[in-house]
Amino acid sequence: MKSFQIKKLAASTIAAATFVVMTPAAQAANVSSAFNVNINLTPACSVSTAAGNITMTYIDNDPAGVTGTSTVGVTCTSGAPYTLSLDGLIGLGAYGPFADAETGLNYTMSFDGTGVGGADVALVGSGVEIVTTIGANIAGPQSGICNGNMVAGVCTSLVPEAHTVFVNY
Amino acid sequence: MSGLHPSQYLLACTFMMSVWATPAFAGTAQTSFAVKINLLDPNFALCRSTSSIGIFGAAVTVFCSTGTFSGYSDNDPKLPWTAMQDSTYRFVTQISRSGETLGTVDSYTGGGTVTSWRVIKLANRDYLEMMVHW
Repeated sequence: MKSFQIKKLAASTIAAATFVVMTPAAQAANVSSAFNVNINLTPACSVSTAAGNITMTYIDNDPAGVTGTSTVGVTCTSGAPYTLSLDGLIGLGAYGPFADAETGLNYTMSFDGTGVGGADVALVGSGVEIVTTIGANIAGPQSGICNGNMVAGVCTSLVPEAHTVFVNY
Repeated sequence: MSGLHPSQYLLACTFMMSVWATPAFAGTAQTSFAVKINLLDPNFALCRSTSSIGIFGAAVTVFCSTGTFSGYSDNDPKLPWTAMQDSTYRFVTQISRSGETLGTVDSYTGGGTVTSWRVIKLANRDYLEMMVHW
């Protein structure tokens, strides 16, 4: 019996010593492995404020012409380049000329608000909405016709001309 | 590459330039709008006779010297202006298809405020009738 107790004590002592020895040995064996996290951000653009319609009132044969404007709001990823373009071909520095079927008048459009300035416009997104002015211009003098609704000397267009702003990014 | 034929070089360069020139857009968004044009007729509510009393928009220049009428320029004989002197300076015109002066107007003129007017169209002439208050 005594011999068993001695053996039991000896066994406990050995076990405790082993535990003490094993703990510092596990810390010394730490290893590490580095890795990278790569995030690919695909830029995106959206029309945050749709382009408004443009209405122009032109006095027949007026040499001064007339200009109308509208705006379009685009929100793109910060730092992402994008371009704005319109439907139709680019003429002399502006889109057009377009022919209004209701009045027979020609007009041009551009993104500088004048209707006769630059065509495509290149911008860089900022993460918030960027508003760009669209200009339309009827150069004078022009002689119009009235295929629309003539009331009290005013020929009102019944079918406005449809256009599209494209955002390429 | 050193063994390429010159035409192959040209083809390769053309291909590379076409790839470089083509914009690589990641996406497209779009919005539609309309352009509406209203056409104003500048001659609306104005009746004129180009065969009788001259063209629309014709100008007559009145020359004065030290406050007194001295003459006209471009005074259309079919739409003549005449000057009369009273307490104020008045310029009277005759609206006649053939250009002749109809009657005497001096005895019927005087200072006042025109409250209404209308054009009377007769067989051989038109005339302007004005209601004057004084």
